[in-house]
Amino acid sequence: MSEDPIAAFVKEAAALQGLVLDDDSLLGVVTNTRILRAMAADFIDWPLPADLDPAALLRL
Amino acid sequence: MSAVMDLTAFEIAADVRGGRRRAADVVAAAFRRISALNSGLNCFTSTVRDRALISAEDVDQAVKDGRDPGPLAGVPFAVKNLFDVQGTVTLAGSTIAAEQPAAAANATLVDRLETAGAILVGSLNMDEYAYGFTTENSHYGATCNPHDPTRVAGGSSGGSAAAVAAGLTPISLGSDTNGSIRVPAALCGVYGLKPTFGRLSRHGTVPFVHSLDHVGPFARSVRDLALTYDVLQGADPLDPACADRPAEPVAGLLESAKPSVRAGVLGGYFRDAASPQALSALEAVAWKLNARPVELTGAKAARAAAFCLTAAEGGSLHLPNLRRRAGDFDPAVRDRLIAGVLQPASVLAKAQRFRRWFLDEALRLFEAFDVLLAPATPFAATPIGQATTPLGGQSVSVRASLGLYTQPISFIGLPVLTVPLVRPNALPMGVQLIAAPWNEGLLFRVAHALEAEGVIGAKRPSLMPAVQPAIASDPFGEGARGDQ
Repeated sequence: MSEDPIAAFVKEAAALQGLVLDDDSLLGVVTNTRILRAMAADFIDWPLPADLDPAALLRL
Repeated sequence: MSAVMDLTAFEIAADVRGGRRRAADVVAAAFRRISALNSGLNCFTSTVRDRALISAEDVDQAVKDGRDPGPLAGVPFAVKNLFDVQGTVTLAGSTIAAEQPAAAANATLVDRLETAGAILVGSLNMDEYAYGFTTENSHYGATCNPHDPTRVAGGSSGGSAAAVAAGLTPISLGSDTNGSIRVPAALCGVYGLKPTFGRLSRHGTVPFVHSLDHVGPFARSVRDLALTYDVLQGADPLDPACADRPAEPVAGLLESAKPSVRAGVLGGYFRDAASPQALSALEAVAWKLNARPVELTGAKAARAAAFCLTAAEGGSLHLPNLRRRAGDFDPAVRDRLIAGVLQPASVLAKAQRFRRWFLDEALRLFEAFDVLLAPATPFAATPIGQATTPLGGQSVSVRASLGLYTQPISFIGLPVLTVPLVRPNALPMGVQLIAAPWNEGLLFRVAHALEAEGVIGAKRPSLMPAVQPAIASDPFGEGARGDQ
């Protein structure tokens, strides 16, 4: 597990946030981090207009 | 079984207002049914019998005195247990919240229903902190689907949908961040409204994701849903997201002529993974409305962005408790919240910008269409405890996949009325009727026309062999558990 870059990231990032993870939780957080990264890949490179301003998002 | 609890809210209120039925008798019938069925369904986490009886006396006295008792006079209702109820601890599905003091005041929407003469009977089960789609709560148990108690009710407002489906109350309230009204409404075969973001006040509810949280009603008929929605509307300065708009009542629109609408049925992402049952339900509505196929570009990415934002905002909200007492969370919820707060900021900033773009894409469709159609869920209710299900040729997580078709829509705040398809001898399936912002009225008119034509309608569960053995011995509803 320690050589897995996602697991290494989770351990370090969690510690920086003041979170303590036991082995079960580490496994669960790593699994969910993989899911979130896969999800983010669906939109992170989505081409958007450079001047798109999200500020008015909730002014329906 | 108490026949009064098979009446609609409209019928109950008409009887009570007309002096033909006492609110006290209606409330007594509600508690009899709760007592008979709740042990097998696990909808309620607490009941408020004394408060309900006092409210019923007030309504009956108003009728006797010739005062207007309100449009929902004597109608029992219950709320997802993230709504504050004065004098009751607001659980939000968690044991951590159970340690908090009782709420000092009612949520705004509880007050509005009571002002309209409706009578609160209790609070309803949900996924912990509303983070789930099945209401399999590790602290308070799973809520069972009244149509098959071995199956999930959907979530996170599973108690709210199941209580209405089983006739424990004619109406209820829930919340919807990514589909938590629409998913359980579909799986339990009832109507559920997720209004436009900002339409209904969330004051006095436990938040999950501030930028995505909506609240709304469930009912077994379009008219009941409309009556309930109408009394819930109105600005509320106590909820900063609640729009400063006057109420736009919809009940009076139902008898107007069948609307001529330009309907579009969403394709692509909204069909690719759907089960044959979901597609069949969708086609039944699409055919009736002469819907034309249309694509909503970016729906898959929108769902993904909603997924990431949810984990981040929800995780951020609960970070103090995740640091201090992570072991008191449902383990599955805890791990998703922690993963959420560890996401890079660049992901979340992009998700918000994408959200704006996707809203513009959706609004462009409403230049050519009045109503858009999509399945509410990709499949029907799954067995309780089943983690995965086959979908689109692969095995997928039930919990995550139930929101496939609801998440992209709530991401941009559009109003959605989820309607139950008439499907004899089959588990319920629902369809989302989606409109442009603030156009709930049109959704109600379309749903009412479909209901009148027999295409949609809440099916009464055949209550319910698997539930019956538990009934006789269970005292819940008679004051034994959580009753005040």
